[in-house]
Amino acid sequence: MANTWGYGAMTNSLGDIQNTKAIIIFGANPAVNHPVGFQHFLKAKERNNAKIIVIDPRMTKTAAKADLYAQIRPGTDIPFMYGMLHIIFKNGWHDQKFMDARVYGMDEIKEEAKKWNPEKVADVTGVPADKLIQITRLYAKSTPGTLVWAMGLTQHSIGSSNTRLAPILQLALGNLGVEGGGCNILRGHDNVQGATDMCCLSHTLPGYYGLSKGSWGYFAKSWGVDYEWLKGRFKSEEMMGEKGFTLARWYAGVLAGKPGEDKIKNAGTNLKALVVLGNGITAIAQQAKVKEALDNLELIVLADPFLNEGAILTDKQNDVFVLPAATQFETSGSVTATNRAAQWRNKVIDPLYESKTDHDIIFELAKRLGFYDELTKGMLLKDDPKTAKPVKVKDEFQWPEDATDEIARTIKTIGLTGWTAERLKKHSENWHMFDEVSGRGHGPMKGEYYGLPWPCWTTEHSGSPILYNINRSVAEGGMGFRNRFGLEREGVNLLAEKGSAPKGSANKDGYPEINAENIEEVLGITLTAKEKSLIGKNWKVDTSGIIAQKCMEQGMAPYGNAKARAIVWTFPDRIPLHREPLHSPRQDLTKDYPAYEDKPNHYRVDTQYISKQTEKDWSKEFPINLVTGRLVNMNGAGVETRASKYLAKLTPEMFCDINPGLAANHGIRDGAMMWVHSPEGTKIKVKAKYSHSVSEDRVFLPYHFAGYFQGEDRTGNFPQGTKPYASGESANTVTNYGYDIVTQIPETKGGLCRIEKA
Amino acid sequence: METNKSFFSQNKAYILVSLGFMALTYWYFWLATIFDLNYVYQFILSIFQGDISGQLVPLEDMNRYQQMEAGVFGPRYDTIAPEITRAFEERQELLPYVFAVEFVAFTIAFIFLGRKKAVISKPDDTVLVYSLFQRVVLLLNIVIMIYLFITGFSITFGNITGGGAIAYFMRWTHEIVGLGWIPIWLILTVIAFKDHKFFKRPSGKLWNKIFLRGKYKPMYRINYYAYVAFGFLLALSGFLLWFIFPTAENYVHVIQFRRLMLFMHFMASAVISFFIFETIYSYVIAVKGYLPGLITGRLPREYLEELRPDVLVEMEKENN
Amino acid sequence: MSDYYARMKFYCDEQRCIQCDGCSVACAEAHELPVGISRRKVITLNEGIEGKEFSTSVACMHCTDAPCEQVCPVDCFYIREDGIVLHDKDVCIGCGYCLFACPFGAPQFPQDGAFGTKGAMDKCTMCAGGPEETNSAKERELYGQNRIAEGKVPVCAAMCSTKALLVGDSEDVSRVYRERVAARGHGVLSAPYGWDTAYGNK
Repeated sequence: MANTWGYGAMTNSLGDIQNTKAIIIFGANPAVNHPVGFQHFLKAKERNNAKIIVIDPRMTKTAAKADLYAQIRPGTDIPFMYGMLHIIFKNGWHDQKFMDARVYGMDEIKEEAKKWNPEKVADVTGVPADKLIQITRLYAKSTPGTLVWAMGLTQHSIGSSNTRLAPILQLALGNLGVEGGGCNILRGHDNVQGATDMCCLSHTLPGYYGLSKGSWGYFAKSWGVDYEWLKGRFKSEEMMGEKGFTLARWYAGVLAGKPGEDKIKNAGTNLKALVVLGNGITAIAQQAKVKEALDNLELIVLADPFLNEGAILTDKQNDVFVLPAATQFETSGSVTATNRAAQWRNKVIDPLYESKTDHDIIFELAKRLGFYDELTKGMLLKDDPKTAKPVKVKDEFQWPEDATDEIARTIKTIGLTGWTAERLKKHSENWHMFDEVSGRGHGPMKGEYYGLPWPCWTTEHSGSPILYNINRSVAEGGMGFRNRFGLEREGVNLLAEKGSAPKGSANKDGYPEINAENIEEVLGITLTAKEKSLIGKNWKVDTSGIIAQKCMEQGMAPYGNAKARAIVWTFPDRIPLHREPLHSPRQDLTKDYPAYEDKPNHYRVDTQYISKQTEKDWSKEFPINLVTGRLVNMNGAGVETRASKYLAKLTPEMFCDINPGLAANHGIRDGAMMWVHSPEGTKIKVKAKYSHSVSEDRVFLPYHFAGYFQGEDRTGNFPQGTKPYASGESANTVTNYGYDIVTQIPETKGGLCRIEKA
Repeated sequence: METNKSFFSQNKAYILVSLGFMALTYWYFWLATIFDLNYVYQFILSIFQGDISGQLVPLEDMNRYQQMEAGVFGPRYDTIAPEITRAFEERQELLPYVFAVEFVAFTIAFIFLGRKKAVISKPDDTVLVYSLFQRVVLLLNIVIMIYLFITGFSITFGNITGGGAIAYFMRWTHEIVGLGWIPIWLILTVIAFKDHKFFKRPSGKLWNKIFLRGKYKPMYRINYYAYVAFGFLLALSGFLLWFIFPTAENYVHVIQFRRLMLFMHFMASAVISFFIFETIYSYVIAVKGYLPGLITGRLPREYLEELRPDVLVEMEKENN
Repeated sequence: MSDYYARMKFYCDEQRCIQCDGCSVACAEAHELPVGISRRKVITLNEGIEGKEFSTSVACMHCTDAPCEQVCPVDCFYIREDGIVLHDKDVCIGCGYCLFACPFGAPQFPQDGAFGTKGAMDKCTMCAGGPEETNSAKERELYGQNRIAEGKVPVCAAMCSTKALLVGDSEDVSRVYRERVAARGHGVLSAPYGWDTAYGNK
């Protein structure tokens, strides 16, 4: 996404879905995962006669409300989308004008799409050709259409290609930057967007600033600390620019060096300690490895409101510490919704008993480690308008307002400048003054959008509810695509073509991102000498705010106005290509669509692709597709939801959705116990639940359970009074090896397994 | 048996009771009831085929709204439930009349037939008719049935008790005591009232006892059969009503079956009440001196010679 | 329109219900019900069958002519002026006749008596408590919250994630539903489901 057009976030909003005419959903189940957000889908259907199309390996609750549903083989979204593009290009349903003006590299996509005729797509995906044609016609003819996806599209070894082709499909149809269009990626949990923006990631700094020396320098200045001091915290300056481990593969950092384990490149040492702040590590793939890694750590610290079941899983007896963390109701601060909008959350009660809020835990840890002052210094600073440099303005910080203001002061890349604590609080207090669909405010909130969806360029800016919308002025949230990948490529202009600038722009054509050098030329203004002395190097580090201010005056976006790109020349695949999952049930296709070459030092871990795929014919021994997913009454690892008796009552046991036909072949009765074996050599014992939602070649497992491990009841490990009402096997014990080539997200939505009666 | 008697006079009691039953059945099933006879018939057939859900038409064959009604609210509410509602309301009004009629009938019988009495000259010459075990069973049966009637009525005539803790207590003890009655009913059925040596006998004669082969008074036999049949229905329906606990999960699958069971319980209790009264009448009122015998287990030999020579004959047969 | 008569009714729009169970969990949580009691339940039919799956939420429908009220031997039911059907647990003897008479399976029984017998009946109160003093501790204990007395919407409908579950004066409920049907342009029902069943117009 970010590599296609600039930002990797939901382009529109849930409310905006009500404006759409067609909704196509790939690998998402909003009826279960976003029940409240799903009302907008239903309202679109009800009020706008919008068509809902669902592409999913199983007949979900969302599919129950759909007009058309295609049961696709897991991991074959790319052929399906190419099949759609094939039909679209063949019939001329694409938006040529949009593509010419605002997209780069579509010709290569056209060439690739030619290969995927409906019959071939039917063979690979398992969706009948006429259904594909029916879906494509309905979707292409109903504009604007919005494309929705979630983890079903991303959690594949080719997840990053999936998430590139989906925007390309939207670009081909010109469904971007319009009300009721866009790519709407649904975030799975509360504040996931905010956590990503604030860098719960290992390859960037907050706000998606890279790990370059320049970025570190900018943050050192903003945090009010010395760059050399920051550098001193690292083993070497080189490691400062290195990506870290990912959540999906941290265990490799512990287990490296053991026979059969992937090699790591971690400055010559293995991981020795693990601190978990509110993450259900029992819900990540390769549970057996996670357990082994936990057993081999020297120190485990688990901070959670409920007992993190990592403590139950491990056999480690000493140096496992469980800290009581406070819940969201016991603290306040801003949270970012899936549509990039922020809300202020107020504290309801003080933390109960001995529990501490997350930030208190971090502060206390920093105190013990001796850098508390450096950690909190940024909150005491403010940019001095005279010098455009942060200066200390107070001795005591006020949590969390000062932290929010620090973020607003620092993060320019995604335009958080307008997100001051004061404004966000005002929005949350006056939320009745905003429109449900457009988010537009009225009365005292007139001229602002609810939650100031980023980019919110200045402290007066309205917020941008729809990304890349050139039908609005920049001051009202309009913008073109971001200029991020250079000005030209192989002789082709990468800036937007003439006449495709946001409404009211002084510059009617494409223009590059603004920096101190080109600002006068591109904006067509002259700066005073004082302004020139204050202005930062470019818009991303301009603490003076002059670039943003001048851009708003001229109706232009600071990040430029460029083309979206279909070709990403830095990725292993220039354009998205189909590659079979590492564990594919169609071994015959793995020759035509092989996995990537093995990738060394992939987030510090050597990761296998082709060698895993060709290790043996997996499908012989493990003929059944394994799909995992969520339940409506559970959240993440389910630690807190299984501790609620009314939620646990709905699904009191771990189960496996199995087609009655498949079950009959294995002699498994409804409600009987069954084993699910994984190619990793692991197995789980679960209760069979007959369901027609899965076809006869696949089974579905919910991933919210823990407490049992490979048939062994570990619930005896719960300290007294902490055992949840429901316990069961973790589905991730049997999810397969496989990680995305770019992001290293685990391939949990397309593996193989073998089942047998228990 | 005299041979010149007509068939009618030989089997007068059976024929009259059968006719009475047929009239009652006709009145009830063809004139009075508002339930869907055809549905109930089909439903009972499907129960014997193992499907107690009462969903006779497959869900797939119905349209969306019919599916919703059947799948959410249970099958065909209009077939049995209205009759239960009606029967329930009418029981409160009708049952007093029924009992009044029964009372009058027995009073008339008493007036016309009077009280049989044996001339006892040797009160000490007694015969052991009932063992302790039999006495316990027989008396428990009477006590429990009376208690079940009282508590059952406390539910039916809740409008008189007005509910509250005592009525609540009687309601749940009705369930538990009713469970206790099931083994008593079973034992009484196989002991067959008069045979006092069941537990010593080989099983070869079990059928004789159950089907009452041999010589019996017609009313005696009818009474027994009615007790066995309607007692079975009562015990079965009562047990199932208790056993299939109504929960939100099983509601759709069992509600129709439970309605049918409740209906059976109503019917069987109404019918059996007549025979219970008859039994009590014959124990306590019709014949003098039987009740003390039932308690002590011993009856004067003269009593048996005059009123129940068949018992004496059989006992002598056994002793030889 | 509804100045003179208010009749409180529930209606679940099955075109919108997605079986999220928000209503039933909210209900159980708000009234602190025992786990065995489901005052409100969500039911899905034809699960996993393409084009046929649908869900709906059901609880006491607060019938105008409530059959439970008619059959109750101890007359523990009473119908408020606004149409909410309530009952008195102190009077209830737990006989279960209301369950046999109810077309919707609303009455629930805790299995807490001796030998697993039924306790006093429990059912949806439309968050209107019971005959005890409003908002008293005893009312809270026996019947759960009395949100109606506080001017609040019943908790299930308030929590409904897709606003499938409608509650309020029957006029308002039917107006909202009519608007939805009109907007949708299809799926018009001749009568609310269950209507024929309950009132025997088949």
